[in-house]
Amino acid sequence: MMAEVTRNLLIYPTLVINDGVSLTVRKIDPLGPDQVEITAWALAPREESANLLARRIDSFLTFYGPGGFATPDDIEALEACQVGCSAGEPAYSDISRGMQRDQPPPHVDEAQMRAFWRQWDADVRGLGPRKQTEARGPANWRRYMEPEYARAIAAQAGSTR
Amino acid sequence: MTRAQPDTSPDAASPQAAHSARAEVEDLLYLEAALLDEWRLAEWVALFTEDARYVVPTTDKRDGDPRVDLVYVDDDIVRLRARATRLASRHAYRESPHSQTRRLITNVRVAARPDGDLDATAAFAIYRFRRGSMDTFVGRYVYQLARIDGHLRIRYRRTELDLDSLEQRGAISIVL
Repeated sequence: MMAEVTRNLLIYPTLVINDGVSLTVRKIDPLGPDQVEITAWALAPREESANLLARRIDSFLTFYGPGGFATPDDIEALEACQVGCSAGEPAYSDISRGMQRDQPPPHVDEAQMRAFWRQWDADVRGLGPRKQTEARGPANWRRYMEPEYARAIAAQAGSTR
Repeated sequence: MTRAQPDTSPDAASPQAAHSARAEVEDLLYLEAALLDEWRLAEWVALFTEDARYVVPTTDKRDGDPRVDLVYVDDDIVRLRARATRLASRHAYRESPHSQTRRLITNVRVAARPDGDLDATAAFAIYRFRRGSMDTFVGRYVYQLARIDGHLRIRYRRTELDLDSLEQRGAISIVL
């Protein structure tokens, strides 16, 4: 049954388990405001057959690996965002994917990213652990997003006046 | 598949034959470097045989076997074509717009194989420039070259990096 589910599991704040095309553990070490080191391990059962191991390695390197078809572009996105954010202009970062769904989101949605940033925000404010819940559906999405968005726009407008 | 280090010339009795084989291999490697630096990726893929393999082992296991060891790249011809097509498109974000690269290929050594193919090794330094930063990749190529319709073609291409780690940028987004 486990093999029929894919997921990205975040163990706040610096550990991620990618249970997708290959089972991967990622450790995140922030080294500075503009540098982060990520160490990835690809896990496999010790007794796995040669055929399955070869397929597992292939799945990892083509997708999660640093020479694969996805990870270099993810790194590019992170670096490009860092360049953009360092301009100091953006007041808002949109990670709303999946907030409009009534059903629990699939693993490609961004619930885990929102959970991370809400807790991170609470931590840097010294508020301590917060229970992470998220009401779903279009109505809740609007209720949640619009005041935040309006505040962000207002703050941005104020800062440029 | 074991590939012996080409410690001997292809034909020890004939230095001219050895020089001519090396010159022919150098022509191929220089053409390949030019095609990659000029981002002519479809033409580059055309240098490979249908049963070709392109492998980049990890920096901590340069003798890694893709069947049992994790490597950075292990492409057959299908995936190699997909890689080239993707890199030439707008969807490979780390290379759109693509980086400026310069490949220096040297120390070329060639040896004949019993099956008629050639074994070749070469040293390389690849400089990648993009958005104000430079990445340097240094290492050694291991090739098996086949002669098909009178032209040398790449049956096996292995890129062994001398780097301790990929730490500087954390990714391989160009063909190494």
